[in-house]
Amino acid sequence: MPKFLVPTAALAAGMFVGPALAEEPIIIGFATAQSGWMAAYDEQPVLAAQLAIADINAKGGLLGRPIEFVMADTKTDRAQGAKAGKEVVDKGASLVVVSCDYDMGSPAAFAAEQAGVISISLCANDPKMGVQGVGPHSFSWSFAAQSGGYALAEWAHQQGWKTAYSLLDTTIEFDKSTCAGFNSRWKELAGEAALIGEDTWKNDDPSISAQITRIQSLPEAPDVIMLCTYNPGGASAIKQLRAAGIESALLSSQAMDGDYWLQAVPDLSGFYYNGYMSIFGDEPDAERQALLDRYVATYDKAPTTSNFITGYALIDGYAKAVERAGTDDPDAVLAELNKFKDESVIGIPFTFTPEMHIQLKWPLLMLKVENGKHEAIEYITSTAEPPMGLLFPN
Amino acid sequence: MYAVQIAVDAISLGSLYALVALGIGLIFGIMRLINFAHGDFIALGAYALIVPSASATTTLFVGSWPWPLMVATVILFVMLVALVTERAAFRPMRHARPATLLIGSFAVSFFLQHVVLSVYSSRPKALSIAPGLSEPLIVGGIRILKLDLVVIAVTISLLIVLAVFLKRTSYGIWMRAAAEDFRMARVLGVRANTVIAIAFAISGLLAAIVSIFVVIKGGLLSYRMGVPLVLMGFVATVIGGMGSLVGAVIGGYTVGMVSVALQAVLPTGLRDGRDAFVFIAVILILLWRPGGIVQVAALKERV
Amino acid sequence: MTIRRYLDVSAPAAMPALLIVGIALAAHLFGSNLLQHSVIEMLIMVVLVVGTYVFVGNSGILSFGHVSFMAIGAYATAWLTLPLFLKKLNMPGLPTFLHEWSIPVTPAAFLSGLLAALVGLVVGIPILRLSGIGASIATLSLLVIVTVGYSNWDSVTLGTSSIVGLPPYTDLWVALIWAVSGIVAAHAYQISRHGLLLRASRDDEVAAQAIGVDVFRERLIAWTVSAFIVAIAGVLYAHFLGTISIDAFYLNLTFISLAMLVVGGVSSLTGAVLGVVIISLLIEVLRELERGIDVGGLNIALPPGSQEIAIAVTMLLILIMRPDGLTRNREARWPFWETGAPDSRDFKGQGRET
Repeated sequence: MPKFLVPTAALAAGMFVGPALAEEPIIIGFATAQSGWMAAYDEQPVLAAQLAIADINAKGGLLGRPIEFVMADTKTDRAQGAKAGKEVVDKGASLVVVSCDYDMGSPAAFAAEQAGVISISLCANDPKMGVQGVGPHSFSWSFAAQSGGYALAEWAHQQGWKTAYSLLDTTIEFDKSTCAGFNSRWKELAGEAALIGEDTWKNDDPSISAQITRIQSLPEAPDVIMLCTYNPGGASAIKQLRAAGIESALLSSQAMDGDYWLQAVPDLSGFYYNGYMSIFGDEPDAERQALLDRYVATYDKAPTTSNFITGYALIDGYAKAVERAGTDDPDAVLAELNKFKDESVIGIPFTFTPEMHIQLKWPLLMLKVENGKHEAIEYITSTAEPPMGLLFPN
Repeated sequence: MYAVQIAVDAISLGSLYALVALGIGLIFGIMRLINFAHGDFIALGAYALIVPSASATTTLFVGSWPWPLMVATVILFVMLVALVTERAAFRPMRHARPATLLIGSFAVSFFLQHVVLSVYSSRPKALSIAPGLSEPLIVGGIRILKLDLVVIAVTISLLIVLAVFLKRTSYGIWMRAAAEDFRMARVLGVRANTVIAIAFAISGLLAAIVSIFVVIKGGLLSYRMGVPLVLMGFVATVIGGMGSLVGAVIGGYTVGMVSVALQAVLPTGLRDGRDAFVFIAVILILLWRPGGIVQVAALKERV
Repeated sequence: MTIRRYLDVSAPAAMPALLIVGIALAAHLFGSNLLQHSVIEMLIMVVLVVGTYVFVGNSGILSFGHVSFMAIGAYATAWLTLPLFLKKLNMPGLPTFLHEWSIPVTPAAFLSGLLAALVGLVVGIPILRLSGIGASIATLSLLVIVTVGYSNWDSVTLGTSSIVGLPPYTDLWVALIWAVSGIVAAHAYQISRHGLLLRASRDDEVAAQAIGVDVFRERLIAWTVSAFIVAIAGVLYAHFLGTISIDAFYLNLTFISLAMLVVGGVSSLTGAVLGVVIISLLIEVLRELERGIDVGGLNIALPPGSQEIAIAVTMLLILIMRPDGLTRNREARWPFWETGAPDSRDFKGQGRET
């Protein structure tokens, strides 16, 4: 039994207690992964989205109509993903929510696109989850990976670090884009020579000794090493780097969020990364902390990573557009979404244009791990946007 | 200096691959079975260290015991898994053609992976075992991880023990006979079930040792962690020479060293294609020595 | 061959073809949209497995590399059929004529197949010099090399990223026509002189060489033909999902296709198709159980993830009970038809070691 069937049954029960029962419901389809490896990463944003739906229904629904949701399991399989997209569209969905990953979410998104239905990815960081990739009705409710790299580069520069080394895990596109953004912006701010080296590895390589040797044979240790990676390879790399005696600051992205991997590197220090918020109890923004508390109260467990909030933001933002359009007809809602300019959704500004359906600036929380404990540092928003040539490098 | 350091990295990775290749080669030699589930034996050995749970934070279970007990338990556990797999899946298929055996081993592997996925979820599990071994020894400017020394030492000792076992004990002689000519060996009185069970048990032992090393080095578990290892081990067994255990070891070191050498030597643009170059090297080695580097006379087709 | 003779020996092609035509018709008349979706998936797998069988079944060499021809076919059709503005935007490395020229899918399919056959010809020359397990490892190397190559050829394949936007083309009837064509082509090959010579070498390589069979050449021919057919599967797949990504064409697909082939019967065309049909059916039933079915008012649902476990156990059980596959490596025969004509079974009835 999928873990969230029990709480969603409760939410569903809650939906029917609200007013306006007789109105035709607005249907939101979740074509996301409930099994296979993607399930672990889709689960929590989906739960947050369902919480948002329950909240809206408790206040009388959207345009006076209750929101119902239908789910179809993509099983972390592309062909199943396309099928899941078709399935929820057939059930009358006016919005299809897809997986938090461009490769895994695009089949369902494309299926929605072909039916003229809006699709929004929970947290894919690929600009191609949008007009230039899937089509004009497709969005991602997160920020471009290149922008994330930009923000990290700006923050690193603000820390006074002078030299950086870029270590890229080439397994997935997300990391290539993050490092592309970081490298470009770092060189702009700190100078061409400030990127003293680059290397690559693959996430499932059993050893990065050769890469470590290359770093240690540099004339001077870099101030910071940018690690564009994800787990398990990411934590493995950090463990090996520290074990080899490399003391440079280590910088990474939201893919390394969460403290579940810290046990592999006990007493880790000098590790910095960006998150959507802090799930460790020290979140500076009150609204987001309140959202975290409500999530924990509703589902009786804490989220593993901070990207769960994109699920809530997605539903909230969609609801705003629907209200302005006065209907849930996809083209009308699309027109409203395309007009979003610094539209505040759970305190995060969202801007869309007919050409750009992903955020190029996002208030990111920088966190650090010191002595094996997470600490929030400060919020930053990048001051520049990556050019089109970097967002769509091919 | 750089070259010497790379050589140390290469030998260390080679030792790991050699252990995997040995585990695969042992069974291949006797049964003509390419055991793709070997990678999942390794994964199961690693997962045995933690409490079975899908929660994100890991709780050490066997992993928190004193190291001799922990090592012994993991070894026994993986040996058990190997023996059960043999009994339940491979023995009924014993006389099938190699293609069937191969797909059978893939089915076992698929099964084990998805059982682990169901129990532990796909989020990688983190743990720290024997952190002291991850510290480096600096010898004359060369960084050698204590773990690397242990891996090399254990590999060599295991090889010696295995060689003595195969040459001197009656079980060992049975196994070598079975590897050369199974049918003939049975005619001469060698018990097939015993020999195969021993082969799987030793293979399980080797898998357990690899899993402990992998966990100490990387600290993370994921349900597909065995796949790259079994792939490289399979390739190593074939280029080293099928049916020959020394060949499997040579194959393992070759693959490991070529991999590290390419990582160190390729220019930035080509480095992402490292695996492609490794496999081009594999094809070249096979074209040069089709039967593997160490040819076993008995395996040559007789006309 | 006279018509009568061909009809006599055509059962191995006609029976599987009739089976899949029957399934497609049933799905069209009685099945939901989603069921038809699954049947199209199955038909694409038929093309892949039949293509793989043309080489593996006739030569006796297990190939782990065929899925790379599927990848080549899928990307080739993307280069030929994507809307021009997408190609200009995302694939600057393509030659200019492709930026200005896109063609309909059917001709693109043939061209993609030809490209894969050409690549197959070139790489087959070193790989097929090897025999037995060495050749199999070489085919595995091919898979890795193509995967790594395409993953890094960003300007033309978008690297590790998905290509989205392939024009829809693969509906039920298109897939069916290609699947039946694949079966007919595979059958035509295996009853041809080349097919028979290759099978001779499969059963006894040395004896075949002794009677003058150029084993290397026959293998190369089978390899090239098989590459073409497998590439068509790639084209169908690409225009079915509308999106492709290189990581779809790697170990999982390799093993599921080989499993379907072996479970059906590795040296039998009927087995190839039957393996696909049976395993696809099992997977679909298990998926429905995972979704939950209503039995007398109760909703019974398997926990998510049990489908994969169940299919692994089922495949193992089938292999234990029928190690030579469901068809026991025999081909289908017309029931109640005494032919007296030689059919395409090898003389020993059961193939030797593959």
